[in-house]
Amino acid sequence: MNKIVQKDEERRLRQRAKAYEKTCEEYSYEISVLQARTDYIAEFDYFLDLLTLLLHPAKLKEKVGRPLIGLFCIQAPLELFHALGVHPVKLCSGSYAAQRLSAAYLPALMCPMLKSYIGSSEFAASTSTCYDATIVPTTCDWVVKVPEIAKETITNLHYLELPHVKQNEKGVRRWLEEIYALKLFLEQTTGTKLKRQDLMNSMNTFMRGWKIFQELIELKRKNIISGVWVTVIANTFMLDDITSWAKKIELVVKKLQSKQPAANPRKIFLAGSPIIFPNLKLLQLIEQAGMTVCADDLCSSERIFPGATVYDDPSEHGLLKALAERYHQACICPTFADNERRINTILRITESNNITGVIFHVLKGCHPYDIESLTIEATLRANGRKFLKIETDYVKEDSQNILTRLEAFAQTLA
Amino acid sequence: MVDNLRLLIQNFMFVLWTYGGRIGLNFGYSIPCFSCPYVPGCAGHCYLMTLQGQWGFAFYFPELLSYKGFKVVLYFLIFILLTMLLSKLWCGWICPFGTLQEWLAKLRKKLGIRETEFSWKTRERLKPVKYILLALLIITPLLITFGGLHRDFYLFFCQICPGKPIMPLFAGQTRNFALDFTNTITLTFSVLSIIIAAGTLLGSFFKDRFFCMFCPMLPLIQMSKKISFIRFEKSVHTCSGCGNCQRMCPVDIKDVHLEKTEKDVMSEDCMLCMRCSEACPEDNTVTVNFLKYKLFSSSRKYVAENYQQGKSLNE
Amino acid sequence: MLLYKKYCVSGLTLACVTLLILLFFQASAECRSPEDSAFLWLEYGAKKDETDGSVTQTIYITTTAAVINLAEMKDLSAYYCDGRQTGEKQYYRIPIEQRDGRYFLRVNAASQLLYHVFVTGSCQGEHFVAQTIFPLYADGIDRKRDQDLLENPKDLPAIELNLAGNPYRTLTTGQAIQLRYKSGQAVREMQIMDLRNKTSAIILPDAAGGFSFTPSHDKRLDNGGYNEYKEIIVYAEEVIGNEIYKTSMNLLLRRSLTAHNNLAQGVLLFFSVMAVSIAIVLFRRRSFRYNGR
Repeated sequence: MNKIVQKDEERRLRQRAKAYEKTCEEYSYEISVLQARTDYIAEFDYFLDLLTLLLHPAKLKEKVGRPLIGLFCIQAPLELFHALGVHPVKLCSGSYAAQRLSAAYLPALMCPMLKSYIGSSEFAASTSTCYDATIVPTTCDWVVKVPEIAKETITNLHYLELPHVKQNEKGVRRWLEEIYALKLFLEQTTGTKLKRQDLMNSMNTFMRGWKIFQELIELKRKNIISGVWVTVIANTFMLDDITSWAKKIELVVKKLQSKQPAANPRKIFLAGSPIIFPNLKLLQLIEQAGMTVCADDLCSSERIFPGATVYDDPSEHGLLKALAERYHQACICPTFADNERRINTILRITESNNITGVIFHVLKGCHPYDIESLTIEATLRANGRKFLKIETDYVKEDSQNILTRLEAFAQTLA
Repeated sequence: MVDNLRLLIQNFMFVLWTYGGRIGLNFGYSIPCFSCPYVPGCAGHCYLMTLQGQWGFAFYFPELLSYKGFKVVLYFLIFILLTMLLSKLWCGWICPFGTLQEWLAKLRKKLGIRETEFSWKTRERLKPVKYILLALLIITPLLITFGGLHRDFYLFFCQICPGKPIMPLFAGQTRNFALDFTNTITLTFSVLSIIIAAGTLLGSFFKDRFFCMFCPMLPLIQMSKKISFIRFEKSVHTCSGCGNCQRMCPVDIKDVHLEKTEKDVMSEDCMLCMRCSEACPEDNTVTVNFLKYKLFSSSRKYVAENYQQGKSLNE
Repeated sequence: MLLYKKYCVSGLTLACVTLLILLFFQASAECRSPEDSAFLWLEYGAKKDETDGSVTQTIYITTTAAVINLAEMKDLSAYYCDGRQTGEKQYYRIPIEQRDGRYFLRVNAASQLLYHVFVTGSCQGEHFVAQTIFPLYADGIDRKRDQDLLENPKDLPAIELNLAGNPYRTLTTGQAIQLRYKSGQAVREMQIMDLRNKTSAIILPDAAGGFSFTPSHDKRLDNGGYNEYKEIIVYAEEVIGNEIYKTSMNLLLRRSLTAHNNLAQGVLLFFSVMAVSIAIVLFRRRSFRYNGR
């Protein structure tokens, strides 16, 4: 009996090691593809180096010199972590090899990103000791259940119960309570008390980072920098100290500012489920089909942090309230019930940048975006935009299929 | 930054209205802000005093078409003209009593004390108070003239207005802090006046623009919203619903944030301080126009450049 | 028979004369109330707001009808001057009107004016002067008025009121009022009479020859509002040779503006309300204390 169990165990370990190898290969391959691009400049090297840190959280911890806190989604206020001296890291994973590892025993219709996460959490390198705590906002059904499945690797779990109705007083107040609970949790975990000046400094730092990130996005709108690179850079958010990260972006912006925008009539707006490195399949296919992603509102790309955390009341309560409200009400994730103004972002950006086509990316199993695409399609068509919904996974097999559809779509834009 | 400009103009206006009379300035008796006539040397009379003083007498019907009646109409027309020109800018940029409240709020912010918040329901319940005060303010002179109400009810609102004891302090006059024992009515009014003044000062310390929630001047200025040259508009199709405007608003207006269909968002409490416009991170979403000229429009670049860039506790 | 008649007639005449003399002296002996004294004074009537924005004040010329008949008064005339003028004052005539046996005059102002009104007359060796001073506030259409300038103002004794303390406001109770008798000779005393309450008092001059008194606060004025007024007549009599000069001035008093104020109590109330409010705000306002997980 023991022998069988032992054999099982060995097999599993071998599987994991193989998957880990494959994942590392996947990462290196994608990085080399990026490096081989024609619009590659030396300033991007820094970001490409950061990407591998996702697989080595221990190295990341050493790099930033602060305890790491694992996070999902974008509703937890990052400034709060920063002010308490901890470093938040998004645990969302885009690796296909890791997904395959866990796909064997997870439901087929589950969000591939979380399957990938669960798979990668089994790697030896990502031991639970790397993360001091894990914060899970209760956004979609899958992410709520992830800690249950990955309970060996998720340490010190804290749920942030996200009110799904955000435009009434009740929702605002409940979320503020959650932020206070988060603050208490982090204070207990770190053993330090939050100081008002620290929080203000963190908010300043993140605002400066946001300001520079906006400049990068401006370049993307003008088609000076490719959408692929901006998504890659956004994916490296929080893989280094924010000030250094922002400085490197500044270098990129300075380098590219003087370039002439390339004309491309086939500009598109990308919306929908997040695109996470190394799963840049869709972006690369879009480029192959002759279109450029000039704008997106992916939570892993342009919406990586909300910025604009303006406050009127500079007391500690006022700052926390500003953070809570900004991360809650400004978030246009489809998990929210009263999210009807989410369409305005797409309309506004496509209007002001002469973008006629919208591609809606839905991961198989991502229910919120799937359902949202119905009304979004109707409204966009009514407003004269071209709409295409692409439902895909992390698999590479459907690439040709998608490419054909994208090329057909590109024809309609011209 | 627009807020800094506003502070500068407010301070200048405070000095102008409080001390302007001493250098001979007199902007009339129809001023749509709290330029209190009880301040010796003021540069103009708050229209509320004119309204209370003239209103009752003008209704002697045989005299309605006389010179006296004409004067009442004249002052009213001047008031309407002034509100047409500047609308709520009188409240947010010019009113010296508003400036005083903002100084108190600044003091509170410097001390790091948090602002008192009202629940949305409570805040809604407080809105009718200004209409009640306005109604009393208009009815009382009529009651004095026709209903036999005691003459000491004259200038009813002025007697309870917190401006009456507080504003003359800036000209060195403490007379209105005294309790007037002449008769029961004067005593009641002076007691009320002092209680309201103390409550207002304290309220203004803990809550931004506390008195402005109850000010009867607001409905008077709001009356000319449709004909005013100033337009406060929102482009509902570019709003992402982030709520920055509601958070920054000193008088807790939800309308700018939650409005999804109408273009005009000048609500009854609005003071045109333009903080919502400054804080809006979407371009050209919240705009203040003067006729065809755009006074200020929201922009993402503005937010990125003006907020919390190196702010510290010392500011 | 004839002798008896002669004695009767002479006795009767003597009696009549005696009676007349006695009556005369009787009359002049107790002249301490206005009704008994034979002098002229002014009383305020109604103040009317005209439709053109000007204000008209009616003033009645009053006296005790029994003793002095205004109809018999020689050269009864009224004139006024603007109290704001400094230097040489210009006097303008006011027409005296009569209705229902009462003599009155009306003054009208379209802007702010401080009226010094004089009414003079003489009768049987007695010279009467009645004065009053009052401001009129009006904001009306300015019209050119026909002013009847008095060429040579008579140099009559007059009571002067010292308005140094309150250039425009009316006199109030509780305020020290200073008077001077302007004439060649000084006057021994002045009488202060309250028409409504029918009281009177005598004030004596101080070392410099001026008179001052402080009217007490009146409950009726305090309770009645700022527009309630009371009139106080100041009367002085001077004898020069065979001529008697009787001068009166009507002082219009309103209730005091500041005498009943108590600043200390007000400030105390202010700070105590502040303290109570701070306590209420700090203890009762919603807080965000999160204590559980």
